[in-house]
Amino acid sequence: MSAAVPQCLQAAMSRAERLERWSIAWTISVIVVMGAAMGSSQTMKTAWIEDCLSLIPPAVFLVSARVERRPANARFPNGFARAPSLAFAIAAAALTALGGALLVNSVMSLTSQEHATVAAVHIFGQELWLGWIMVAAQVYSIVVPLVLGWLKLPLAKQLNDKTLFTDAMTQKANWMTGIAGIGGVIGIGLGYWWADAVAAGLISLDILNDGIRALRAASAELIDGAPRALNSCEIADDASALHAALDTQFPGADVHLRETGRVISAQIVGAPPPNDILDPRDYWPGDANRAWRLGHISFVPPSSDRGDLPER
Amino acid sequence: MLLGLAGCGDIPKDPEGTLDRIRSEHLIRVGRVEGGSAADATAWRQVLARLEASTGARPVFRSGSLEPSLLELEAGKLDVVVGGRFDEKTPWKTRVTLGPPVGRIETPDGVTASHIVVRNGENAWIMLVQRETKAARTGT
Repeated sequence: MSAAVPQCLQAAMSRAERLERWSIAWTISVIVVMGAAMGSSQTMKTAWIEDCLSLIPPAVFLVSARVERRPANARFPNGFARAPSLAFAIAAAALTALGGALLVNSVMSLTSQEHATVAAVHIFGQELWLGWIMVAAQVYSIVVPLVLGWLKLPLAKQLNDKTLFTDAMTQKANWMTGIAGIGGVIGIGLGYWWADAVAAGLISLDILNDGIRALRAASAELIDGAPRALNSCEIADDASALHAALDTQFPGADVHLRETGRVISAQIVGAPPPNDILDPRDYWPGDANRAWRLGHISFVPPSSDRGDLPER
Repeated sequence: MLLGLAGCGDIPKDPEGTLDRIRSEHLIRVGRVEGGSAADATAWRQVLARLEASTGARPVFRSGSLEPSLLELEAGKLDVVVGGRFDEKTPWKTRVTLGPPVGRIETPDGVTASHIVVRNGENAWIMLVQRETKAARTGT
């Protein structure tokens, strides 16, 4: 049971790892470009912090992909498939706290009516308004996550990987941030001092939203909730189908499904294991290519204490 | 496209319209800090002369000590404060915009320079003041 990554997913998994490594490199380039153009604009500062934060999901993914492969041992008999969930919960908490702090920051600069100074820079002897440099940096910070997110989304669905999915969503939030940021900078240029703080506020709301979403997904898994869909906090469709199939197969027993990393574990409480069926794949209803989703199945025999059997 | 946009001179605008007001009223409200050195005064007088030439506005002086003048600048009652000498790490840096340093003096206690100070966020006016300060310094 220690094989956290099913055989049929090995190729997709190594593609995802390669993509995440590139993702880190490109994100660092965005951080450098944005940092160089930052100036004293609140929008730019907030967008830059969001760019820095978008390093967390790929880093968590890469570290946990390594930890996940470690074989189970005497101290960790269930293996390490849940390490990513723990890492993710911590990262999500950090994201949430930071989003909140940035929101407070931009509300404060709005109420104290801070006017952002964005003056001139000199490039090749030419005087240029720094705002244009900021807009150019923002455009770069839109293109990179747009492409990366587009590449990550199908892989996340194939691997049923929450970290990768949240990463793809963070990329989406990042390029939307870029658009809000351009609005903020152009707003300053047109003489609307509040545009800067308002754009920064919108971006921090977005960071907060990212954080809360990731926190909900991670905590549902950590407290053994039923498997959640990748893109919402609802129960996953394939889990519901599996639940229904197991219900018909074991009438009278309780079916408990939980998710360990990308695979589902089923526990049939109050029924003995059948003698003829052995491979968990055989319990999977629907698409055989997704049968790896049911990682293992276990049976808890009927007990008189629970009321499954007549009292003795 | 960016360069095309950059070419139109209307951006950035001043949120509080400082430069437009200076051009239409032909007055620059200058806060002059008392007790500065003669060398510093020569430097800022050159910059003011250049600003006068490029905006067609005449400076009107009001003398005072440094921090009260900066407070008036922050409140929009002055357009520029001249003759102030600042520590490199002055906390005023975030509340007002310091122009390029002129006449840096290094002592064992720290580094100070004379700065022409402008209100935060008045980006068109800030750019003009900075441009003229640099031009005065290089003598072009």
